[in-house]
Amino acid sequence: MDGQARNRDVASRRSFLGAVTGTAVEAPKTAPAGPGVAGIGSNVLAPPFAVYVLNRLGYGPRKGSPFSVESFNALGANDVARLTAFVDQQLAPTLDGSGNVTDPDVASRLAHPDFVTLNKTFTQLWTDHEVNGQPSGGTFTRDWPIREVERAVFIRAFHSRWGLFEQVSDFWHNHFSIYGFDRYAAPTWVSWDRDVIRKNAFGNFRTMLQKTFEAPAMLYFLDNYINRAPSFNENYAREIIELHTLGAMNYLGANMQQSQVPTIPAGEPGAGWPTGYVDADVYELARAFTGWTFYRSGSTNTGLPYMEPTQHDIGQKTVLGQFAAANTPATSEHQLFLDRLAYHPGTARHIATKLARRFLGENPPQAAVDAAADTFWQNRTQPDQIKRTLRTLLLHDAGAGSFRDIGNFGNKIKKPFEVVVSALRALDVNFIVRRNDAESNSFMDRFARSGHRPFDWRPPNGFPETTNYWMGSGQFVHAWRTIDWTLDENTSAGQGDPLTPLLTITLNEFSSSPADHTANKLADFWLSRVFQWVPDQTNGWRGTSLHVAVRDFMRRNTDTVSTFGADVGIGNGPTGNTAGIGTDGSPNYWYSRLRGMVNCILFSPQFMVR
Amino acid sequence: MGNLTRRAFLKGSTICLTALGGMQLGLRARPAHAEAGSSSSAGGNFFVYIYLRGGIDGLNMVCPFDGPDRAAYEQQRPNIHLRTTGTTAALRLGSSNYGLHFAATGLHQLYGQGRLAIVHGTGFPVAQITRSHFDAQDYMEHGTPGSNSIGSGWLARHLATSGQVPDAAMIPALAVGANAPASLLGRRDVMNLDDANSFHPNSNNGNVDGVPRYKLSTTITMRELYQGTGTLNQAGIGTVEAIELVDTLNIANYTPATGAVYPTSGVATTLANQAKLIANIAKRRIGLQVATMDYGGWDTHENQGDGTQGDLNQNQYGARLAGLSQVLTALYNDLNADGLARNMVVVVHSEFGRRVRENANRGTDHGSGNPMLVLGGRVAGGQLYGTFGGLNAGQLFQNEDVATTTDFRRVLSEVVTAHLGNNALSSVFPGYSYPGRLGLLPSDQIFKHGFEAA
Repeated sequence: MDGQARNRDVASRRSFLGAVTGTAVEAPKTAPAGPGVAGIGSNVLAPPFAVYVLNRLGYGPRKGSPFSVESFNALGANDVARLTAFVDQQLAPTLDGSGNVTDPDVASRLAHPDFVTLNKTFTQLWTDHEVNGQPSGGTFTRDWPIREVERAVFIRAFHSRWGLFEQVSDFWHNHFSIYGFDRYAAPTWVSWDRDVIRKNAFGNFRTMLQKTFEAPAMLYFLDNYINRAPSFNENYAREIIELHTLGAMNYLGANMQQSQVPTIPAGEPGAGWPTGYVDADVYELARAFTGWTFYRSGSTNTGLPYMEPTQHDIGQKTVLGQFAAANTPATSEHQLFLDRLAYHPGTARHIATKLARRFLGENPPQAAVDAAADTFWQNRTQPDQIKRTLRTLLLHDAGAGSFRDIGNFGNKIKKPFEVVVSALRALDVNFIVRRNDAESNSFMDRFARSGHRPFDWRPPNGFPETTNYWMGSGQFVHAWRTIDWTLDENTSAGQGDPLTPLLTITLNEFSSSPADHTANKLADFWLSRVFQWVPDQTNGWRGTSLHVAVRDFMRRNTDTVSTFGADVGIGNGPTGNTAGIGTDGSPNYWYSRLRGMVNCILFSPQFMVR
Repeated sequence: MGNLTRRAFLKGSTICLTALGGMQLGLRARPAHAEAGSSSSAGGNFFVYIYLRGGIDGLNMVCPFDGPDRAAYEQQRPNIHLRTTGTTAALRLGSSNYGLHFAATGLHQLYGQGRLAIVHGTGFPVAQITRSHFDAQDYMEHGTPGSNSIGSGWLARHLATSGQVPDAAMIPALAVGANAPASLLGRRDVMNLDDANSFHPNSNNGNVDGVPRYKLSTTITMRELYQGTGTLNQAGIGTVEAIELVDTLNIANYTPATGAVYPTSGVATTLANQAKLIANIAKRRIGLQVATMDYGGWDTHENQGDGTQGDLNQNQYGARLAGLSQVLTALYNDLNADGLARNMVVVVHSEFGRRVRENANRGTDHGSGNPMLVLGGRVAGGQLYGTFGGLNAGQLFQNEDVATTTDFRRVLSEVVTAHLGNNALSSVFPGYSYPGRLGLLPSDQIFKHGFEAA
């Protein structure tokens, strides 16, 4: 890959570094590659447990916040005790009187005139943004709810102390994925996000399923609003089984009939029920859903769901072994079938597997999945079913690959949203991404090119969870470019100037003395600041290849040929270098260079994994 | 554009080569393919894989125009069937009993010119038929019906086993869009590019001498940071190379050939830009082997467009298909003008066809058998291949779908062997017993005018 000249150069830097530190730096530990959880980056160092947990269960540490390394470490005497206390704390977020999660750090930032829809009820949203969302000659407000929520998710992720709740909400948004700018999704998105997803994210799955079943956004997105007897539209029925409940893992294929499906043996969860589903179950369910639509015109333009009896197939049906006689009232029939779907042990396995892949790794230990599936199934009628399931999954010890295994670190890549959010958290950026200002739009336009704009996923299966999917050059470049923009941006929209307080942090937390502003020290300081840990208590990040690369960026002059002394303070002489770290003039552009150096840290493999 | 030799390429580079020894381009072992002095018409062969996500209603792309299936077709699709007369009449394919959708005028022309072939009734072996979008796409793109556990895509395995992938290839694989598809899974030298503009992390920065400050310095450091053997390291290096190639080759600057009219508005605008990027890179003759792009929106469960609906603003299926037709025509013309049409084979593929019977909403639900389109200068086009299973009683799969009569792997295998010159089918499609060519491509092997020794 590299030319010989470069290799020599690296070698000489290493000798040089050795001379500077004067100590033999212990070879850094690399993340162990256990069975099925091999790290994806070969030079990634294993961090302390707290850093792993905060990156897995949230969007990375934010120094000084309740979701930080110091807060985590204050929770107990050892890793297991701290993890247990942390999980229990995260699973019990503070709630308001309506059961919505509260967080003063988020609320204060959302209290801005650009967020006018977040507190509206479903009915208000429907009236203001669906019925009256595009008045002729008036302001087009139909998409305000989606545009406010897609930005609010950034603010929540930037600032929330309930990182796990935000991650789990994101999980359910993808599980019940709807394209956010869809016809009836856009004007009702605030309610979809708040009343359907977030209200139930730690709650009961059956309840959440019911709420999705009643949401006009879902009924429209998957075409059930026009699913009419006698010739049904199977789209929603298929996806509610394949994606929302049993999952394709329990699909027995197009060539098997209901009568050929084996039943679950006695003594096991769901005994006597079919082990999985076939196409006939989809068709029967589609018939049950015929006529299930929502009010969207005339004097009953409310957005509420209802059954249109003239379009409903009243014949008998059997879905997954659940029989409904002819003329069963539709509400009862729906309840029977949705109960069967939600309570089928295949659904428990499907949800547990997806959660495990989200939080543990792509090949989670089967014992951990089974334990979570069992909790899910045993608690299927409990109001805190999902909370209990998460607790089992995160605290279960099934050996290697369990959540508590630090060996998992590095087996997942950060998705673009996670890359950008964790970067801005690491830099203590206080950017309020809003519906309606130029800066926010610049940010979103750049981020959208990463392919991970929130709720901008058209098929109903949600953004992929697999690491392989997220390793494309386009995804990397546009996540990085969004970060770079945030580091460079001086805003004029009352968002703080500059957007990223890089210089302030350097001067306040590190040193304001030019003598300290050497490439070696700046690199070490910022690596520690970004990652919130050091590989070596004495030498910090010095001695790592990451430090060398980042330090060398800081040394490298704009001609890319000559270098500045690694231990010479910027603004501290020699002649010609009296301009300080905060100046940005030719030829050294120190301030740009500092931003570029921090960029390199944030673009590094160490930062890209979690 | 003329031949671009490596020497000229490097000389034209804006980067300070003296200082860096040229290695930052990652080209040390990668002389451009054209260095061997090939004539402009003899670049390497390449393959373009267009995936129509959502399951295109193939029966309304290629319909029974007359003959024994016509009556059943009209009866099963009372509203949406394509007509045979009037302004929305289907376009008859030669003297066959089949017609193309009226909006696919460009494809009809290519068929008439003998460049477009159509394979009827492709899909999975019966035992592996699935009506799940996600399973079907996954199995197809992995190239392993009924399974996705192999962990790599069929195109990636082709690249891995093709003795013909030259080291020289600067961009052997190109995935246009926000992400690379599963067919390229496992391949780390795929350039994944959504748009050549602003494809650099430092493109927001202030300039020094017209170049973003620290742009080059950043990529130098990134190369150091991503040294290593992990998949992430490879992806990172691949990203740096993509950034550098886009920049150095000035990919953002491209003018299609006269006569290559890519749509600039409508549903296919993005597809057009993606195809343009493929043409752009193919025409630079820098070793392109495979390129992929996606075109979604085919899950037409409702109001897909009636057979009489000639206003494409009201006919979503027709508009989308018209876009596909325009883009394929433009892509073909673009390459043909540059003497490269014979080096290209395009396959248009989708996860499944749709049910024969239209649903209550003048749409169609998930089915199975579906046509595949094969386009290229060497394609024995103007013909229908495979067998149309028929629409009459007893002929449909499960009384619902067009029967699957040709394994999709057979079509792809012919492209892999007869166009890309790779005979390692047991690696590309493990477990598949290739029954031999359909005759889509000439039987003469391509080695002579394919890739010269690098």
